[in-house]
Amino acid sequence: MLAATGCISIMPGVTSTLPRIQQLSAALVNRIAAGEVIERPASVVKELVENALDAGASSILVEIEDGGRELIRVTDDGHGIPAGELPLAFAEHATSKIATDDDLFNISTMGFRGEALASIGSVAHARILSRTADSDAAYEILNRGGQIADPQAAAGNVGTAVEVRNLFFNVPARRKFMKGAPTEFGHIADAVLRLALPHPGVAFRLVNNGKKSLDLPATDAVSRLLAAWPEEFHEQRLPLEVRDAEIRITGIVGLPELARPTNKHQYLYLNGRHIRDKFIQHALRESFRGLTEPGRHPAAILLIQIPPGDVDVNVHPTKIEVRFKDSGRIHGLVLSGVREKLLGSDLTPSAVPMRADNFDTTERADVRATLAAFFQQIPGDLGAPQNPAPLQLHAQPGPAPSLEFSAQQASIDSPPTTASAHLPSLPATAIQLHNSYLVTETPEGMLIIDQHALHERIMYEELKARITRGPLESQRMLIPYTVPATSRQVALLEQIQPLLGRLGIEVAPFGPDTVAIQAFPTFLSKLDPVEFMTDLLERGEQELLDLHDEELLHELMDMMACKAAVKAGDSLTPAEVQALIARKDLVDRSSNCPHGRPTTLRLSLKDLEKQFKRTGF
Amino acid sequence: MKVICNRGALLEALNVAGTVVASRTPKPSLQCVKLSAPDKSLTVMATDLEVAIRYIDHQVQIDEPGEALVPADKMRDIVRESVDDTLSIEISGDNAIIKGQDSNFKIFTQNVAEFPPVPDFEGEPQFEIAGGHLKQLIGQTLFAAAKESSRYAFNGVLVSVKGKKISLVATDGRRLAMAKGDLVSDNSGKDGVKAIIPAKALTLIDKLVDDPEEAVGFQIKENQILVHTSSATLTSSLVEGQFPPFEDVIPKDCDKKMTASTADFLAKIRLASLLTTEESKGVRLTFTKKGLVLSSRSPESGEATVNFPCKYEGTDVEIGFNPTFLIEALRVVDSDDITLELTAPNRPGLLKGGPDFLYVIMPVNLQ
Ligand SMILES: Nc1ncnc2c1ncn2[C@@H]1O[C@H](COP(=O)(O)OP(=O)(O)O)[C@@H](O)[C@H]1O
Ligand SMILES: [Mg+2]
Repeated sequence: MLAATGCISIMPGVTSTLPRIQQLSAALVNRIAAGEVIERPASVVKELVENALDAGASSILVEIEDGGRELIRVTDDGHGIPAGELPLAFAEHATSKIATDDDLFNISTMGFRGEALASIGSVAHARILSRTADSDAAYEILNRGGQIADPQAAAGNVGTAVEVRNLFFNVPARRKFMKGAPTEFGHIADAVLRLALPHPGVAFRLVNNGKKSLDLPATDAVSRLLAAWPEEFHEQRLPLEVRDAEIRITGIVGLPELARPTNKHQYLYLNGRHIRDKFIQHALRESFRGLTEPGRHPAAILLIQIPPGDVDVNVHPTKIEVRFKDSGRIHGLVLSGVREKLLGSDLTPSAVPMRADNFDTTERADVRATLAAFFQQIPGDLGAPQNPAPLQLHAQPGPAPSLEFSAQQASIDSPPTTASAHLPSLPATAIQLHNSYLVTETPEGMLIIDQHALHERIMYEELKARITRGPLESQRMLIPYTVPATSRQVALLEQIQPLLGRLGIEVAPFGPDTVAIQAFPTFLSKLDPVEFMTDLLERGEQELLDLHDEELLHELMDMMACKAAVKAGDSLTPAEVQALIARKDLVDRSSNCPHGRPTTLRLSLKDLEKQFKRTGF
Repeated sequence: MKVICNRGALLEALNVAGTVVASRTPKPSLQCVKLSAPDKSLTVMATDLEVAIRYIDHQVQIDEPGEALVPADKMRDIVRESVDDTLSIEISGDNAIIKGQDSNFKIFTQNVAEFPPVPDFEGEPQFEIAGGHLKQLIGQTLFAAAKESSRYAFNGVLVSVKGKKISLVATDGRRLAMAKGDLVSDNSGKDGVKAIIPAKALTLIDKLVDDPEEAVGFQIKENQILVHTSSATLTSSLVEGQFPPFEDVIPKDCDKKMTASTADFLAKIRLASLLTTEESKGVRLTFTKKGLVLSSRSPESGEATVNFPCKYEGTDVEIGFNPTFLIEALRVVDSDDITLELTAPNRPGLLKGGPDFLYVIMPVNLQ
């Protein structure tokens, strides 16, 4: 890290002074430590805000100038630091938060190492101004790159304000690596938001160059969490609360359609601390399996509470990674908790957006176009014999919101659009439109079903159920199909042979650059085995190689289901339509196809009312 | 052109031709049948560019020779729905006028010149076979051909002729049917002839033949087959490609053999297959000294067990088959008894019905 020490030549013949082992000066030690904790202005902000939270603040103000180069000031109304302890605040390894070895394994505060202020002071000009409740005056103390002045009396409120200027003035390498003010401020804003999410009772304000950038008054748990998500996500969430004897997980998960290619809408907290954890991320992804397209990250904010003794938070300089005593248990709880929540919920997206301003997204525009086309298509006599609906529109109250939450959790509640637990069982009749969509009536309105997506979903669930009973039934070939394959592809096939066997596919190398399909599942008897295998080999080379077995099995079943399902454009007989609709209820999660696209859109009478402007008159 | 037709005979001609008319084609001329009345008879012609047919209707009176191109479906509808014994067809300008006792239709015609030429049977047939026998051979093999396989040769039936004998072989890669028979005449030379005939053409040939005694004549050319019956000539392009070396897949080392009545075996298989579904098709056949036990299980519908005491020689074996494959074959067997020979659960079974029919069937790996 300290490349500044210069290079030491050990070439023979080159006279140079032999390097000597020396004790580093305290200031240098701090600067080295700072290098690990204080990467950029946002890390300063994080440390200072954590200190404010540890001090029991109920309101925290963060002021930034020039991306933190000019000024970082964090002001809180916490318990303050007694004047006599002010010098210790800047001292290395001085903390009020732990005292003994045992405490280290039972940490319930954000800070505990006692090195943040020391590090910050060593690489900047820092000032602490603090006053405790029982003191008449505030005191300040200055630290200029490790030179600590004596505390002085000063004017100030109860609480603490820490000011940092000239960051990295004495670490040119770091200073050079600071990005432009907007970028650095972006990181700061992210950091403040992350810190604010699990502390709904604390008000947060972030001011940038004198302008208010973030204003989060004290509020309830869910409202605070939603601050992390774009407005249009807010209605599309499910509340979460699961626990076992010691672990408790609360938070919100977004409906599958909110899943995105990056995990930027995912926040994980452990005992109030923002963490990154591959295991938990994996558990989340697994719990959405089959509901989102592969490679997408579900939107979710999880607050995990576990006994402090069950986790080691002291494994990473910025504490962003932690080590669980029993990570399998957390993984299991997240997986089962989120999955049950999803399976128990109606994931059918609403066909009509709640607000007109949502129309500008392309997806919504598509929906609107679909609907418009749909209404033009409905033959006049189809709707005619039905009740004159408007008369009883308000007579039917929506289903009661699910009440699985304890009283103090009442704030974590599902929004009305997603509250109804299960789809009502479907009536047996539906009409097919454009040989692609099925439309069916429900007590609340109507469902528009994508026939391919639904059938695919059903096939997938059937495959999944079947495969638990043993290898799929397969037809052996009298004359094997041959498929050209590169040696890489042949190697891939050999690698996944056992998996293919479970799916009822037998392939074997057959001469140079060729493989032979010797058995193919009867489940797929309508498919051309060569086409299937060619696809598999092509995809295999590109994306399947790195998957582990379960993921790969899932991918293959996806492919099978997709290919075995009726396609858009296939005309279905009324009996086939009926059979498809009847099976909708039989499969879990049928509101999304295995690729995560919705299978069903719901259009409620209420939505219709809105569209026809029947409300408000 | 002006002709007076027996309505029944004309309808027959239009029905046969109608099966060839291209259903989805942007060319209006291909949606038509060509009527040609040169002297004593009326010829109805249709083509979809792969198969072409000429059907000769003798039950006509030609008042004025000529030709015309008329929309196939309209023409057929009119002839079918009319009640008169005879109808008159008269072409005047761009119109065809079809008259009955109390009806008069005028339909628009297309330009005759736009219709592709439809070949006629010329010269001597290469070989001839009795109509009834031909129908039997087609029935015993055609079902085993593939429907829309990417292995094109599987979509046809291999017809081989040599030494006054004919054999038809069809396979979809999972099972294979072969039927042999005798010819009425054979001028194919000492090397004989071989061709893969598309399933569609064979279906049509089967329909064209209605007299079991009549000799159906064949000519196989470079890439075309012509078939001649007393009333029609059918031309079809041949399936290109290589038929698989089917002799290799006929098992020769079977050490297990069941002998049973065809009808009884068929009945038991059908019974055992009642609970199979699209997705779980297999039926388990358990052979022991006591005979055969058929069983099936599907997660959706339940389980079935059917006992079939029959003659079985060999060690006990358990093998899965798609019952449809067995049923289809047993239906076309014309001998009273069949034999089913086996080697191992993952190797093909060999079903024989009489000396001239054999069927190779690949097993299913049961779940
Ligand atoms: N905003 C604050 N309010 C009250 N005390 C503070 C504040 N910031 C720092 N302190 C005190 O200074 C000590 C050192 O802070 P720090 O260097 O961040 O170490 P740590 O937070 O790991 O204890 C803390 O233990 C705490 O006693
Ligand atoms: Mg701290």
